[in-house]
Amino acid sequence: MSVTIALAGNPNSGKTTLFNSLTGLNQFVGNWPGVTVEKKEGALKDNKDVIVMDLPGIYSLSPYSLEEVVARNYLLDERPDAILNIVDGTNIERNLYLTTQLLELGIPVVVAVNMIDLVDKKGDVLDVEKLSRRLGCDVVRISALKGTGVREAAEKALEATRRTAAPSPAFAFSNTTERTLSSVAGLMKPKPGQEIPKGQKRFFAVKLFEGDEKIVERVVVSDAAALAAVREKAEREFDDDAESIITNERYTCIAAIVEECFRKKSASRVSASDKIDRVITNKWLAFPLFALVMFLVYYVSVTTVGAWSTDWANDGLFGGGWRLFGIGTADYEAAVEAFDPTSGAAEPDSAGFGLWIPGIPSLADNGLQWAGVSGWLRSLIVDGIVGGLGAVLGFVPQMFVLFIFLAILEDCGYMARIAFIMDRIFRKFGLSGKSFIPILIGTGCGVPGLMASRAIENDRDRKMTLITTTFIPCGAKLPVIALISGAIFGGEWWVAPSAYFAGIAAIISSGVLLKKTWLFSGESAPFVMELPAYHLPAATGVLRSAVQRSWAFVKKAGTIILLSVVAVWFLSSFGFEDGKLVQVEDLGDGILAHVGRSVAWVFAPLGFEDWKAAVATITGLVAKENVVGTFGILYGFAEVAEDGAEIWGSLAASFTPIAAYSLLIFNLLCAPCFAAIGAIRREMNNWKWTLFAVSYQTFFAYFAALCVYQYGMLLTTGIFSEGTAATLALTVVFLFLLFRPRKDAFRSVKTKLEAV
Amino acid sequence: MTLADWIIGALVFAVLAAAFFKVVKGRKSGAECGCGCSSCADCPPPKQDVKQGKDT
Repeated sequence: MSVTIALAGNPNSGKTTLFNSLTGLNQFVGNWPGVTVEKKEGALKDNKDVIVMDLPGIYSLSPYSLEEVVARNYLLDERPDAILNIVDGTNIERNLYLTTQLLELGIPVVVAVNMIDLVDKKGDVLDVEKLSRRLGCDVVRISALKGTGVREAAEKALEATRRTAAPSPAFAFSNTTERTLSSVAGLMKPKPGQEIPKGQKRFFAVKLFEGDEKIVERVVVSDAAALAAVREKAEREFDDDAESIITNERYTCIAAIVEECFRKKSASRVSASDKIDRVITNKWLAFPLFALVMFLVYYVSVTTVGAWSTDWANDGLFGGGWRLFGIGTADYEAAVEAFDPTSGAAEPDSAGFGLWIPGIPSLADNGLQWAGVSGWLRSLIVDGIVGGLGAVLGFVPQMFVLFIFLAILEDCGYMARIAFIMDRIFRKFGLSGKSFIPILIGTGCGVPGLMASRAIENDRDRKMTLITTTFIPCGAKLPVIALISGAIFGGEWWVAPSAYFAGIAAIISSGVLLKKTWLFSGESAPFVMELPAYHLPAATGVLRSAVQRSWAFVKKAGTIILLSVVAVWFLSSFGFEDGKLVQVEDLGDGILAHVGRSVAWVFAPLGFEDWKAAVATITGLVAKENVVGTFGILYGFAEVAEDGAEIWGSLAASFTPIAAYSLLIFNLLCAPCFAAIGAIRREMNNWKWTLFAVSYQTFFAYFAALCVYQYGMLLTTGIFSEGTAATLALTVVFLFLLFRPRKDAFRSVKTKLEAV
Repeated sequence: MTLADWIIGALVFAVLAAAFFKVVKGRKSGAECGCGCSSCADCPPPKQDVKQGKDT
């Protein structure tokens, strides 16, 4: 028979790291609170009969947000066989608040004091035996990150599941409160046909006394007037409300326990994290530093380190070929320089210098020709599959570099600061920094980013976050950014970082604009977030995260992207001639070209009326990488020059830089991929809202791309066209919507005036 | 159609069929939404009870 151990603890206490260590799974871990928004289960590595349940982080059993409800309901309704309570050793006093509540649930609890290595490093001393006695449960010292004490924690939790007697806490509140709680317990009865589990009476009595609505629904009070009288008496005696009485009692107990069991080396010392935060979160420096960090991340990923490796992948592996270790390159370049086209001599052959390794397209083409494969099948494999997938996979090195940087920022604790920094800006516009957490997660992939919005309590803010989260460039959009940056702009330094900042600008302006509508008006919820301590990112963790994300990208290329590029190849290579479906010589006669032309007029004001760009934009709805895959097929990336250097030439010839940037902006901001649209629908739980979200994103993207193209043309050519006039009119409307006073601000002024 | 066409064509279509079923199966089970991100496990099947494994 299987047993279940639930991992419960405060946000960012290391539950998911411990979960991964116990189960051998690879759940996403981030050094900021709110990474886990749903419960997740896995079997214990050494004992598959033991199910480990990772719960979202909670500060108490009085839930306020969705993920807190998930955790509490699970503990109350499912009743795991034991709770492994992860306590952050560097912040023990606050973490024990939840522990005191978990101990009242009548479920065996084992406390695992995590980050004990940091406690030791600081010179603080924790007496585990004493803490165990005072709490009335087993306590173990662990470091989930380093893996120390993890096995012992699992063994202790397993031992606890075998206990039959319902445990009870070893601590008690003041005599007056204990008497009050006994009176409340006496007035409490289970609902007909139900029973209050053994050992949970105290928990229910406390919650009933506090007036917790969700708990009140679960029990029957025999005499409501008597309960009110008991509560009133206690509130008079303590001169406080019921909830605060219990909170104070808990903290009094915790203070006594900590006093006895924990010795701080120096209470007044300013930690290294605090010193760093004085600079990083400084009022004036914070935002420029954030901009600099993100600029460097995108610049290095797309333009420098990432570009060097991607150039090799695109021009060599998925291009014409490459020279092993570059041997012979100098000789080849010298031969090209010395070559005189008028001499009548043959042009130097790139493959004739050094050890030339042909690229996959030429290898595949030569192999298939040698085997005598028909033209259509060769075209499917070389132009469709190799050309389409190669165009996408060529960007894996750049993505890998980006994912390394993101993992470092997540792991060291800087991401949490970004939310804090952005809160200052967001608050000015009536938004909350809490909305920025999903956006941070969305930098990797929009789907988990959208799910992270569950941590936002305010429904209007949550909906608005769902609408704006996918504006941030996710990993799948990186190939689009890199392609435009490399092919059209020759790797200009500003292109890739500007894509990220365009996303941020879209989020902020959309937030301001939407907040001023009646749909989203109102004050946003306060943003309270615990900033985790900075720590050096673990190299293995960073690499694992980057490899996992990159591998997921490769896997996706092998499924949905593969199917998409084959569909694009078929639809572009076949067309109807005399009522018959035949393979066409010119892609411009294919089915896709006809479809593309019929919608291309929509994009003409944005500067890319070419049917190929229209088709690429539409296929991008399936997955954003498809934009690149489609270009790969339609612009014939598989048919490259011998040296591979002209792989992007045909694409560059079809776009002006302004049209290309407009195309980039539209594809970055428009409706996300189907998977993300599905996630928006799940989270909104409403088709109308989903439709609103997708329509808003697409209109916004259209407007932004229109501004880029029309104003860009005005500035570069000086011509004022009807398009410019229409864009100007739309800009005026947009600016009005952006800068008009907020409705709730009006209301607040009106209320004040009425009061006067 | 040559023998090479049949063999290579069959291989290509087998790969495509496998990719198709992987996408369909992944979406149906809810284990993978198809977005391809590394956090699939972070996206629990929304219509399933994680513990019971039953549709709710």
